[in-house]
Amino acid sequence: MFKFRDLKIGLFFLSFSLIFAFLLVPTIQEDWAHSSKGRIQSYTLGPRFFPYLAAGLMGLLSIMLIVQNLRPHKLKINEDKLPPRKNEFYPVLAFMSMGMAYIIILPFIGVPLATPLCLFCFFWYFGNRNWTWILLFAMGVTVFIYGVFEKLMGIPLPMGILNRLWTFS
Amino acid sequence: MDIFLNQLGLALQGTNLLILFIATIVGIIIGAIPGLTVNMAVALCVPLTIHFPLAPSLCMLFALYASGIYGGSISAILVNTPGTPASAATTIDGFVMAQQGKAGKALKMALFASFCGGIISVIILVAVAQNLANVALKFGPAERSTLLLFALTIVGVLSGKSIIKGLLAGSLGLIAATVGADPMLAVPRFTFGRLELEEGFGYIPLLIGLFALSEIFQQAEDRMQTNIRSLRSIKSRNKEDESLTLQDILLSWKTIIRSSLLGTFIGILPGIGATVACFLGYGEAKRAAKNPELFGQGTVEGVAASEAANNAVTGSALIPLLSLSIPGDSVTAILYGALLIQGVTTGPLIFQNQIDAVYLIYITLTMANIAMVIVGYSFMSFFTKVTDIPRNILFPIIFIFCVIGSYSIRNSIFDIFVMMAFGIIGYFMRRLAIPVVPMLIAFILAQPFEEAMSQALVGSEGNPTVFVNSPISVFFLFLTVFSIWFTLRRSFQEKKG
Repeated sequence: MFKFRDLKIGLFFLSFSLIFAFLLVPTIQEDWAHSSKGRIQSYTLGPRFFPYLAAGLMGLLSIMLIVQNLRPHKLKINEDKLPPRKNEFYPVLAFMSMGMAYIIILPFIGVPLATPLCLFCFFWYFGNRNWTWILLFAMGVTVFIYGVFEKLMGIPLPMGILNRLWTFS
Repeated sequence: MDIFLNQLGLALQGTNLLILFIATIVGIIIGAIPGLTVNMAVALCVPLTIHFPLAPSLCMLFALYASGIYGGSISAILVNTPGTPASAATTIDGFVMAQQGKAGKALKMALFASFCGGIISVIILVAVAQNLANVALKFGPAERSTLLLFALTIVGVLSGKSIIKGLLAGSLGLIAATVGADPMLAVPRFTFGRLELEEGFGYIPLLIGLFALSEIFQQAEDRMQTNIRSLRSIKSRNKEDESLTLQDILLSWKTIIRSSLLGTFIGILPGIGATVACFLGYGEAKRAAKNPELFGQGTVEGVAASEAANNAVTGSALIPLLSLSIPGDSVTAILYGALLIQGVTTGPLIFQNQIDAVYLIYITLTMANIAMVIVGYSFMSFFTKVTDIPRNILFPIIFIFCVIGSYSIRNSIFDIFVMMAFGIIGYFMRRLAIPVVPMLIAFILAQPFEEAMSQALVGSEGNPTVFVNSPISVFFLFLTVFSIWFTLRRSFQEKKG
């Protein structure tokens, strides 16, 4: 399944560098000739130079990787690190989804509600069934974060709905 | 001298000492748990330092750095699994000693050797950094840009198994660095009208994503079930097997000094790091030993060799960072950003403009090594238990800290999404065996490189020969060409192999 892995990596980076160079870099505004910065710009390489340089470098390296992996002796399974099997990737996907959900709900329901909820989901999904531990850690971490960041360091954490409730009360 | 004494007094304040000792405990715990890395610990604590003055910030970061590398030896000795890659060679003799009932002796030797390595490295840092900076003071924008060009080639070259993939990661870092305003003309690039992107990607969300979050995703693959149980106790029936004797120290002192010097040298070279130092230290000790056959059979010399070498990297890695502003490895890359946040600009001028910060760095790094010995020795029995902490509790909690840490820099939810995006990128890079360190280092060096190059061209009214006019620039261009030649040669050998 993981045959030609580096070849695929090379093709991916080559496509990315082409898209970057031909679609994204031209969106950078470069016409400064009539502005006060025009004189400076005539001496510098311009705002597009460095992105082109990075894209060119990436494209060149991708081609090198592709050529290197087109050699017959390289057409073998990469043994250094096998890719995650489907059943290995599901927990990662679940972690990413739960994490993303936490970030999305954070501004709406606030840290004090979202954090224990998120931790509870994580603990449960990853096989923790000890309710005492789950509650202790979920609440403990929330209190710790609120205490250290909000109270000790004065960083206003997102409070979401709680902010409105407190203001209302 | 007055400045030094002032900084010493500042560093020895009660709050700073408290932070130093807490960070040392945390560092050893993180280092001892396989899967948690020093990079992750330092990256996660950078957001906290924003709200602290310089002294406690440095106490925290250096304590995590030094003790984290030592902490890796605990699980290397007790469970044959290095807590950090830098302790991989410690398993060879350390675990055998633990099986022989000499775990206590091995742990104490690891601590003693780590301390010696760390202190020797600080001494060399103090001796070398300023002299190197005095040379670097003669650099103008042209010399700086050629130096940074050389640094860009060397960090890509020396990272990871596959050179091309390392360089590809570097080019991705360069592309990531182009987001935001152009450093010379302030022209917005790839901001897509979003105000948050005007300053480019936040440095801290990027590094937390690449180093901490991607690690957590990787741990999630087996549902965080692979808990490692420490089976060995450091208590032994024979009292002599538990303690480090004068005879052990006399047997190992030459090895410790040799490995410390070797580790220090490796630390100065950008991109190599503590893992290579640890194996080189071990290999060199075996080569120089009267009885090399004892290596691998459970000799204290073996433990001393690898541990002195890996901790010796901590001080010397700061030499290129402080004097030339080149972060040589992942931790110094993170420290570079942390120092910038504190208003400390590394580079040759730091020795003229911010000498107080330099003294504070020397002092806190020394204190971190001393605290490592005190805490490591006092709580040795406790630290042997930390490998038992269930991962399915630990990693979700670390995830929450990643999120809050990224948010706390600019109070921005957008930064959390940036962290998440780079976490996902970092995870796939790890899975595809693409190293993440070159990406971070290229990201850091890209903007100063572009700035120096533009300044040189503006200064010379667009004349490109400015890059070959001075002997220093030519020297760095020569090194760059040599580095590329070396890369191509290694790549060719890789192909043949």
